[in-house]
Amino acid sequence: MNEITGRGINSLVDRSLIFNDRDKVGNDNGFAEMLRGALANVNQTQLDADQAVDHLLTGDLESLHQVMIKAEEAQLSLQLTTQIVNKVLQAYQEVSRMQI
Amino acid sequence: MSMFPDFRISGSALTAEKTRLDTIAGNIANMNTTRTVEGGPYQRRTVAFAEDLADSWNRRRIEQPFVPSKQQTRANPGQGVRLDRIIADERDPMMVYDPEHPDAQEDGYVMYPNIELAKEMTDLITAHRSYEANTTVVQTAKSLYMKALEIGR
Amino acid sequence: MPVFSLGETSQIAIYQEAALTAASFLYSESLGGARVSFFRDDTTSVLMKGLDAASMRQRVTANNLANLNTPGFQRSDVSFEDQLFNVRQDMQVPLARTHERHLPQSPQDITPQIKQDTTTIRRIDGSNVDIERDMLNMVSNQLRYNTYVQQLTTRFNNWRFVINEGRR
Repeated sequence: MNEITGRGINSLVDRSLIFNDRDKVGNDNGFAEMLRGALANVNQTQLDADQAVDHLLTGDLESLHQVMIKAEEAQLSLQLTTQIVNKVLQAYQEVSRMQI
Repeated sequence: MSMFPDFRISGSALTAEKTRLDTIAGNIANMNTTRTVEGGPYQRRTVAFAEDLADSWNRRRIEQPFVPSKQQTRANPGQGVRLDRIIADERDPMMVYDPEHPDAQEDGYVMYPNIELAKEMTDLITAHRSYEANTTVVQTAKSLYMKALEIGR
Repeated sequence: MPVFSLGETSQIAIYQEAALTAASFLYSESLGGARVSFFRDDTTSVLMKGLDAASMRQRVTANNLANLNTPGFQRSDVSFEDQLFNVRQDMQVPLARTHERHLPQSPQDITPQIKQDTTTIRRIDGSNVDIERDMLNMVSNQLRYNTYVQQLTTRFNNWRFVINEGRR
């Protein structure tokens, strides 16, 4: 995957790590797990899109439209996940300010 | 030829029909050729086409049983057409009585190629129609590819 | 699955709920966490298959016209939209499906198929390709292709609009 999306996903992963640290009482932190799953999904869509482009470059032009669609989905996945994580972090920060 | 499957298909047709056009041109040009290097009159040539059943990308033949009487689904859209062979017309030459002719035989007859202009012109038109149709296919395929690039824009 | 272990106020609970719901959109545990494209709702999937069908049809028509003068050649068509039409018709009357080879019940079951044309008569020493018919097919197919691309683009753009709160 390219640098920009790679960095984007990495920063999302870094920021979502905050949830792991928080739960020190040993409670089942399902939210963090779900977030990790979501990021794995986003990762996969990027890899899929990259693979499709690879095929394109090596001459396998069976369906150009599928490559375009995969690229769109990869981009939308990334944008959607970024927005959600940002919003959740925002909410989280607001709430943690609230606690004290 | 091309990495786009659609262009390969149409390209194969353009090549095949071009060969046919060349053959016809040769026939017409040699309509009155009574003497060739091999001896005897010029032999009319025709082309035979067959569907290209080889997976030309992987250079392997795809066996496709041909059952014309059954409603049948095909696995792949096809690879276009190929020139099967160029056939030399084995029919008897046209005999024309002309004792004065340098190539006249003892009986006064000259062997002419068995080529009729009307037939050749008909074949020419058929080949040309196909050629034109296939160039239109190329244009359409191109515009589909261009349109695909617009997905999401 | 609490994130906060101490002093749960109702507001925190609401935030948690919202966050969990949001995240679960992207990660479907019910499918074993298997990756499913979130954007592929029913209509979008059918549109994508339609594009596959139209693309296949272009190729099949190209092959038909390439073999216009091939002796013994039999032309083919691509079946997809007609299957869709039949399924929609059948959906008016619910059918019992006793065998898996029965008619497809939902649009999602349909795949594009290449069918040989056995009804048209072959010309002597020729094919059964009718040049006008295939040229016309090609034109209408192109319009279909363009329409599907347009529809898909609109859907993607709507998504982008919603995600970025005004298409930034």
